[in-house]
Amino acid sequence: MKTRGWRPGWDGHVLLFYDEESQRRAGVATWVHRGLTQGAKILCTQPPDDPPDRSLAGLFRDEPDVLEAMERGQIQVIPADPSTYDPAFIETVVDEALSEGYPSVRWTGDATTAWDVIPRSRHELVERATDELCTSRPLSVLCQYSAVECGDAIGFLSQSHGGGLREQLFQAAPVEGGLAVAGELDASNQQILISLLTAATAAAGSDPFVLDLRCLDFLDLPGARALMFGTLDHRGGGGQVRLESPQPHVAQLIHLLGIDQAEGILVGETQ
Amino acid sequence: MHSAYRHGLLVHDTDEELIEGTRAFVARGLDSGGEVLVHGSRDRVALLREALGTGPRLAYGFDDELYQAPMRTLFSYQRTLAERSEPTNLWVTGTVPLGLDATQQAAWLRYESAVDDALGTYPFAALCTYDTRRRPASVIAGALATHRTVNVDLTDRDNPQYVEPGAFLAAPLAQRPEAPATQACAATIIHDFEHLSAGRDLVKVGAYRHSAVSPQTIEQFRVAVNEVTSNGLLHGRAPVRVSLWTDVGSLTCLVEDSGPGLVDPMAGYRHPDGASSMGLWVARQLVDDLVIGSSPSGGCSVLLTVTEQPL
Repeated sequence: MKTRGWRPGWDGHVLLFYDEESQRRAGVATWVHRGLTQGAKILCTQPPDDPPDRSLAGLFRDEPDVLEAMERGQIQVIPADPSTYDPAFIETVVDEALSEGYPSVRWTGDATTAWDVIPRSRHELVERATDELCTSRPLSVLCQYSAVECGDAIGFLSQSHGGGLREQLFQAAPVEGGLAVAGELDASNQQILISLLTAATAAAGSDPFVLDLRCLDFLDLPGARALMFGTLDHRGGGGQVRLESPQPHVAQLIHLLGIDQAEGILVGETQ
Repeated sequence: MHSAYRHGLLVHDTDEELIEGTRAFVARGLDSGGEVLVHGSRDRVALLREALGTGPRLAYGFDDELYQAPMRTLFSYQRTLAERSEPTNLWVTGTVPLGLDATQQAAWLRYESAVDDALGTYPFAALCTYDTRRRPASVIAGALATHRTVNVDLTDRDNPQYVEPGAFLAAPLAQRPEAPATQACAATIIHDFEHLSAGRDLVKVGAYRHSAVSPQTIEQFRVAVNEVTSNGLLHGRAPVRVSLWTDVGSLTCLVEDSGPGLVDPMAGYRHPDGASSMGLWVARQLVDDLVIGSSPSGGCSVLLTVTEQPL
């Protein structure tokens, strides 16, 4: 579990939540480039019949250094198959790469690829096992989830991604005692935030539930409403929510809207 | 309008008239059980304090602390009144500072005109005192156009020269801010909520690159522009055009939707009660000026400005 003050990054078990293909490609590209910089072994699970424009080779067709890394095996494609979604298989492949001398390993794939070969319930178990593996090995796994395909399940799914969730405008990660949100919250992502908060507050065993706002750069009215709606169940049950360390302009909006006076809301640092 | 609300004017040309008018207003306020605030420049407050003395529920305040910027002052009064747990009447008298130049004087006259909308639902009574020896004729004319009652011989009377706020804003005295005639330094078109961030990103890039406005002010301005753009999509019609002008110490943004919309120039002054627009109410508190008008395409246009004085 991350400590408070978490800043979004591209390591660990990361959930890439995308609305459009361009977002997915941009996220995967950033994550792969970071892996190459680290000298990591990079694995990508993709369907054998993936169209060229969606495949890893298609994504990097104009980047000779990436294609060269594929040729010499630093970047490797794993054809999707039920056996490749076995935690024991994943562990073995990761350990083999580490024993070859790679300092770290990175693995990515789209959830829809998994759902084509194994049931969603089994995939959830794999996700949980992967989260464990990311804490015990120098491993980063980037799980790509289409907004259309997973909908409200995003709240539950985010709980099993310790490296955080990345959406186009904002990032979030479970932290000690609560959830950290970073980036920009507005009308375009309020539903996702509500799902995240509802799941996170339900899963949290602590009270007050901490919402770490240190890295939140922008908040508008729909975003602020989402903070309230998403924590409604928790507060309605007598729980409290601490909005921790908002930047001055975010704190000002919270104050203007009277959120700091709302039942069950605390603002400021933990004493 | 609250039954105890009043926004009256006392035009005077001697200190004695000021003292007697203020004394009568303070006495009425204290007799009603209300709290009374007398404010003004430091020399004016010293004069009145000496004449009226001190006492329970009577406070004095200085304009250089309470009246630094029109909208900040207006919404500070509103917050004070809205957050009161006990419905105590607030009686305020003094001279609105009126600024150093014609632009600032007009901004304070627009403040005077907006008082009815922003504070009219509260038990708020004000007597604004204007000294003809110190103020130009245009300011006195503006004061007469923005107060519902005038105080003559210590009695409030209906003011025949009063102009409704929306009409006042269109009058020359209000010097309603206009978008710069120069080409915008940046502009973008927003088609839907999924791409709302393009407008505030435009402000961020332009403001940080081309102005010396502080980060805190830029971020507040971004929130205001975002809310107004969002309103354009919600209450008007897409596309919404966002244009930005920058100067060393100021930011100006014009947000125009494609309508059709009911254009109420006074929207966003009243404290939100569920029915009125909270977005505009928030936006007004984050900028120096927010002026609502009509766009060429028949929609709504909103001009937002913020200015920072050099340190």
